[in-house]
Amino acid sequence: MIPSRRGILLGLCSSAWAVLSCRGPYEKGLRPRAASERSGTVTEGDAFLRQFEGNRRRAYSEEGVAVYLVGENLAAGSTDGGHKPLAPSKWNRQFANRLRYWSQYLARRKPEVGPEDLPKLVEVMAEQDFGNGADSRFRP
Amino acid sequence: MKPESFESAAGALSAAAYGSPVVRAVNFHNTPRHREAELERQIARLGREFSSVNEEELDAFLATGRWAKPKPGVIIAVYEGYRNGYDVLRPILERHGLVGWFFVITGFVNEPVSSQFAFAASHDIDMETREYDDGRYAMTWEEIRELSVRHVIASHTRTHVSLATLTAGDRESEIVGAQQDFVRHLGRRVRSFVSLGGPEYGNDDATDRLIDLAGYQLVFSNLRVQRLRPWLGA
Repeated sequence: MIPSRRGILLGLCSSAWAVLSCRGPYEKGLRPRAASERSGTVTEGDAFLRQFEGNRRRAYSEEGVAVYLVGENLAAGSTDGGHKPLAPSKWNRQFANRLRYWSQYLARRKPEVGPEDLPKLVEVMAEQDFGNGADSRFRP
Repeated sequence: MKPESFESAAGALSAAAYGSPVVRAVNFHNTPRHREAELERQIARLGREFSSVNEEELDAFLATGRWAKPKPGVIIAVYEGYRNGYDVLRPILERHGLVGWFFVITGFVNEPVSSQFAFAASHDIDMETREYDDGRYAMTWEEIRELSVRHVIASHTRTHVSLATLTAGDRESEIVGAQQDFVRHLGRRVRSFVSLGGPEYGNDDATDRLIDLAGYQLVFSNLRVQRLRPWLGA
């Protein structure tokens, strides 16, 4: 069957919508909004912030704490064939985008945060992804 | 060089993560018997979803950027050298096919049993439970040698102090002296090092020189794991 011009147009529109609607918030660069900005709801951002605050009071001595460690090969270029920087995989790209997204969010909501708070932020990401309370869409 | 703000630190880390291997780790410290069921559940889940990682595998991952196993890896890091890491956590790890990375404070292990509790109290080693009647809270070197057959033994300095606060001589004892303890008791050097507070390699020239002198290959810190050189053997 040969589609009509109108059919082609509708098809193109629905494809474009499908592509746009499938992109996650980290890809789109959307920021989570605080409950104060969207009254009556607890947003993903509020939940993240609550977990971040909770980690500051954590019993590190007796809990298994999930973290991410970014690798660095200082022997790159040496005789053992250390690699050049990797072409970013989809996973790396998403991880880096999420890190940027949540760090910007945290800096906006809690301007007092310093570099020493960065490991706590990464802990929250790791905890959501593969820690005890893991419930993230960003699964291994 | 140390980033000056949260934003610049986060920006640097996300830029690095874009094109570098990223490793998952779960950090344990004290693993007392009364938490055994909870530990079992957590380790069982990690064992289902992830592969074990040993030093050769981490070395290759950092060197090539390629991970050879079907499931992603997870490093189970166990800090301090608590006796219950051997008694309680080790069997759980082995039941679920995971490798523990035991970061040992050598001075804790070397301390006589009668003063281990006091040593812990004065060296930022948390002792929330007094679960051993005989007063021994650290692993023995014999237990560490046994662990080293299946697991990774790594250095967490000699006395668990912040390196930044030390004189040059004391810093050498913490970094190089700890390695000498491993050579004395295991008959070989260990590859991996982390100090209290997790500063990175590259922050302080004097510390870096001592890490090089001790011959460590992998430096763990709060946000990174750094491969300094190829491993030429122990």
